[in-house]
Amino acid sequence: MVYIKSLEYDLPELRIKTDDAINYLTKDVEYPKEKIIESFEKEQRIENIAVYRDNQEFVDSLMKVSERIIKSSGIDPMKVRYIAYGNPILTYINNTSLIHYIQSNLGLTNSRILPLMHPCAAFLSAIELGEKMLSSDDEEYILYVSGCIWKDFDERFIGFSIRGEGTGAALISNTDGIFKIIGTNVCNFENSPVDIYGNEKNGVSSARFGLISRGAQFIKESFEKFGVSAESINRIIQPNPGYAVFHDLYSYYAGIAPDKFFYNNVADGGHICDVDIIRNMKDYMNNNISVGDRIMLYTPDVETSFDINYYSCLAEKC
Amino acid sequence: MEKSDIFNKIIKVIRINTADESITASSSIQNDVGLDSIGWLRCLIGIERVVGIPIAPHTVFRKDIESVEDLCNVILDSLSKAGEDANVQ
Repeated sequence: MVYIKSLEYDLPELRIKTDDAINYLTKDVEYPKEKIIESFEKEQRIENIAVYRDNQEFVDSLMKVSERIIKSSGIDPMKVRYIAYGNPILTYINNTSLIHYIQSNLGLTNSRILPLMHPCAAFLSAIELGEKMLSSDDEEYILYVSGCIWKDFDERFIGFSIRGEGTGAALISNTDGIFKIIGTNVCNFENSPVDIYGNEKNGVSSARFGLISRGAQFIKESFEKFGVSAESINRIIQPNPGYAVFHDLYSYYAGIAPDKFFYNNVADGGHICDVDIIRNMKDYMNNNISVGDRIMLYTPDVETSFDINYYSCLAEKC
Repeated sequence: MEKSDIFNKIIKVIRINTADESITASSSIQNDVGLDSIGWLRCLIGIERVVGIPIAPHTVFRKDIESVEDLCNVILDSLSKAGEDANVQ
């Protein structure tokens, strides 16, 4: 049995309005930017994007959440067995590995570094691995850290969403926490956009088209695997690519009431990989959530260079 | 439903989703229907609701579908097949 013991996240103060971002992205192309802006503002309801002023601010933010989560939890740092992360930039920004720095700076002397090849799903992946890898006898933890910062605006724009920036951390425990993990589920889409030589195979658009309907099917499969229904859980906590993605599309294809998803953070910040999940989960706890209430965490892991992986996790409030 | 009714319903849904009244049966899926992936999914959901059968999202990417008319014909075939399957049951 594993638990989520604590969650922390941090977003930069600076915001760029969505229409300014789109205007900048489309400044050199003949493109119906008004339609794109309208789509983002009316359908996806993304109002602004969170942006770090520079790498220094990002690094400070990551250090802040990592330090805060270890110190506020009161755990013995020597009990951290793994430091897991999903975004490769955490090991080379400023030509240094922030993960190794966290390891030494926070006294996590007994930890092993665990890179997970899932920029958007590494948190859920770490949860599942925690069930398998943490001791069944001794107190142990996984410190999960996440952070997103993008080189330029072209990296941010992913068609139907815009990536924002932020950091997050979570402590996965084998003894106690705020949520206990009831079950986990994973599958891949088997529809990679490119072949191993980098040639277009199924095409990015074709892969993306099926992404949502397959993801909705995966959510239904997860309900079945966990022995629950949409009605029996309080909320599905998903990432923040946009409002319409889940309210209109996922809800339709999965046959779930749209209000089962969590939209509080859609407008502010943009899509921040799996920092979204940490942020949404932490903020959802500000609702009147009672012991025994159940939530399902869900995320697809999507990059143009690889097959889509879906992750889900059923968690119960302790 | 008559074939022309189905065609008209589908084209109407596409026009609503594109906010483009100039869309016709001969319009090119790639070049004239200005929808991104999310837009197409919303459009397909709208089409599903008017024709009453599910439509696989990747349908619009089939190589044999170049025009709106091609899409309508594929959906019509699916409708006919769904009707045959219902009769068999």
